[in-house]
Amino acid sequence: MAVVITRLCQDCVDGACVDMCPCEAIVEHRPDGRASELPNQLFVDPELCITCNACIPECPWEAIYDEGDVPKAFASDIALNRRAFEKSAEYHVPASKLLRGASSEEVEQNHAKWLPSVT
Amino acid sequence: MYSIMLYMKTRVTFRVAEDLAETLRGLPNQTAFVEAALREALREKCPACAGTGRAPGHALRVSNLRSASLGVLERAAALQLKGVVALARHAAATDVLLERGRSSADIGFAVTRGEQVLLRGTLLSSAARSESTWQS
Repeated sequence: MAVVITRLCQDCVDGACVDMCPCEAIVEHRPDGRASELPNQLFVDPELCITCNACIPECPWEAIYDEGDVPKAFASDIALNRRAFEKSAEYHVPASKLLRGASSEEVEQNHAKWLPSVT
Repeated sequence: MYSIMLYMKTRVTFRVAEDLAETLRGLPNQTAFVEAALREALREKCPACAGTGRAPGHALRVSNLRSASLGVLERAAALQLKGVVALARHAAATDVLLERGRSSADIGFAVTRGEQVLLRGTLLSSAARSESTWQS
């Protein structure tokens, strides 16, 4: 059981969670020699995550959930995060962090953007 | 007897700082002293790499808060732990062990390298800094 970053992070990639994580468990997919085929978002390496949950309130987009609390609509994101452990050589702590925050309106719009598309 | 043993040894020449050279010149038993000092230094393995010349990377384990029933980490404590983990990595520690502190809200930590405890302290729930003591 670890923490999971869902698709609500996609294209937002705010680094507030990276700054908070005590164990450098929050990573981006940056494989050598090719572009990432994964969505533009952050992931949690479940092997490094100590389930301190300190990152959850830091995410301005409310994209981070405890694994047991991930909404059904985002259930497939759990496996996507687990991949960070299985292919850890392709994942790195982000070099530059974007800290831009989000208004409650933007958060709402972001949730609406993803939820209807999930079956 | 001593002089015969001395001739059985191999001569090694090396450069040292002037002050050290002066100290060595003043010793009555230069060869025996230097040989003993070298043997002593070579007997001690480097604690970081255990004599392999290569420190292990990413070998640090940190206690899982859920497994240890420690609940959720407060923001201040998480930032303190981040500093402790960074320090542990620099010190080539193997584990950061977490346990319930003196007060129920505080979390105690121990940075260890194998059996050796390098640092003990407490992540304070609301204070700005952690209390810690170096183990000599």
